[in-house]
Amino acid sequence: MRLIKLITPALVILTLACEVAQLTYNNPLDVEDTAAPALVFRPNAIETSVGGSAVFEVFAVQVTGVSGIHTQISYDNSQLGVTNVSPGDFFDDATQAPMFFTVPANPSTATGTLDIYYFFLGDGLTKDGTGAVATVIFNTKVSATSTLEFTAESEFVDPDDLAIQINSLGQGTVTAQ
Amino acid sequence: MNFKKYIRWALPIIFVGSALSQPTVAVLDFDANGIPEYEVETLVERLRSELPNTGAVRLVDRKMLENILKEQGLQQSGCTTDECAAQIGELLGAQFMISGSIGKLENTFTVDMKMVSVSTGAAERAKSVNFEGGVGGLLIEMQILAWEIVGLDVPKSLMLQRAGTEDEKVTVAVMDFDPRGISLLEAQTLTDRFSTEISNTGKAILVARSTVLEVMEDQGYDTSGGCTSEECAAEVGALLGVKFMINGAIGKLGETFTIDAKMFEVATGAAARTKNATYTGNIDGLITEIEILAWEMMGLKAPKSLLAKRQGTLVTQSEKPKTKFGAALRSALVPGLGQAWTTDYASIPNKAWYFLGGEAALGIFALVTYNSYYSSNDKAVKSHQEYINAFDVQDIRSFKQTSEDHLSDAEASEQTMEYVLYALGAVHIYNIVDAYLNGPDELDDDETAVKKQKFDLVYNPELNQPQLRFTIALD
Repeated sequence: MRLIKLITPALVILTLACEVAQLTYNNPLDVEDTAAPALVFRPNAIETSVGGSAVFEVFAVQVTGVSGIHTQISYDNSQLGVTNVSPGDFFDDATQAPMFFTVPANPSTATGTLDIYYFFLGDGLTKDGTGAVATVIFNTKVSATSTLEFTAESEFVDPDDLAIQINSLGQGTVTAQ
Repeated sequence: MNFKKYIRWALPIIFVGSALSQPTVAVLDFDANGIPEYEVETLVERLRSELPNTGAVRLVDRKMLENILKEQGLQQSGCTTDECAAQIGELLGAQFMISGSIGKLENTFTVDMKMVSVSTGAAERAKSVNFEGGVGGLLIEMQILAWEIVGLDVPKSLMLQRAGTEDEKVTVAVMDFDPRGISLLEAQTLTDRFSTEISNTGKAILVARSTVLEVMEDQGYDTSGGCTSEECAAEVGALLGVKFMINGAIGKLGETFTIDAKMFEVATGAAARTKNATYTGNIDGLITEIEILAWEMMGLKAPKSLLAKRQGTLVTQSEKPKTKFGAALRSALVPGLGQAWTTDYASIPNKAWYFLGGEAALGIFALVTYNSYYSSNDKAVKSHQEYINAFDVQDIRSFKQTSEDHLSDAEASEQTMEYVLYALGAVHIYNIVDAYLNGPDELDDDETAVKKQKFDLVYNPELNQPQLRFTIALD
């Protein structure tokens, strides 16, 4: 009788509970070789409440010989606002401090843009690999799903200020409920 | 003729002589301590009425006692000393005086009485009793004290009545069952067993068989089957002072034993309970049936141990027949159990073991596979989390690969487990179907078939055509 009590629930649990996990491999930094170098948001989607914050990191992925980065992020001005922008650690270097500044969006336009400039000055200092360019904090204004995009103005440059081709630009979404 | 003449003259002389040889006794009213006087009067009256039954004393009439006391200007209540009692006795011409008191302390009644010799003024005998219960129970105590105060043994009937008032037990005597087709010795043995079990019920105070026989002998009945009628049993019961008598008969018809027993009230002769059983089987089973009957006779359910002992076939209580459905149900619960049950567990067929072993093996395999699935799935989720949190491209790719591999293993294990469970289910269903198909034959005889099947198709030879028959069991 004890055996029945053990086996019956075990079989029921086995039958009902066997479901292989549905996993999505969507790490924004997981970029195919053919798509590199890339400029992405991490994470690439955030859900928050109306009036809440959404913190995105802007990443340069698999870059080589970069000494300056300009990213231009476009978003809907009526739905989102930029609260704060801080530099990432990609250009941290013992020999030279990088330059970092931003140009905030014009609040009168419907489409907001945020320009971030991050670069070394002079003497050919470069960085390779993947790293955080900046951390941007948005605040939501209305209940909606907003898209963050890098515009074509975004670019990587080498020490000679020559543009390095960007093969893919990521997107980010903010859902305010 | 002369002899009869002498007897006619001698008997009154003997009677008067013996009456005169009995001492005369007067009973004074008892003192009441804590209970109403009218209750004390009632109890003392019971003592007075019992004293002559002892045959040891002559009672002075109460009216006479009251008249003399009135003439002397005395009151009973004022006469509490031995000397006073002796003085009144002298006036009455009595040889002994009985006085006493009845009191109540919380729930306990106390009765104290003494018999004082009028000639010496000394207490001849003193008796006392404590009684817990209702005041009505004191009536029997007063009757018992009547016998004890005159120095005689109390009759058994009174003692039994006293025992009967102590709790809810009833006094019962069992007469030897009338043997019909079996020997007297067998009947007596079975009666003894019946009596023992009556006593075991705890609901009866049983009069010993020896006492019953003693009374029968006193009454001139033949103790070996000479008292089988109800009249005789009632008479013996009355002499024993029991409330109920049980008599009956045990018969044998071919291989079948019949037991008929009846319990009737001695006072009214009305049947309190009648029980019977019909039994086919060996003698051991008959004893068990007798014991069960004893419990039923006392209006009780026989204990489980006794019912478990029941053997043989009771015609009146036929065993529930085994069915194919019963076998299938058992196999559904435990693989192979239905097959074993069909053979009464006497020779368990090999396939029962195969079903049990096979399903156990498949079950274990399913559990092992489930364990593998669970482990792989867990590892896949962990690796996925590491993949999500990673920054380095190599790490990201490594975690992704590991997670996908584990996920693949989990899917494979899940697939295997699904097949094993299908196999297990198939074997289990086969096991149930096998138990049903090879289960016990349900319709062994026509009677059972009729009882089981409400609708059936039968051939009607009169109409020369088949008919749909609908049957309703009326039992």
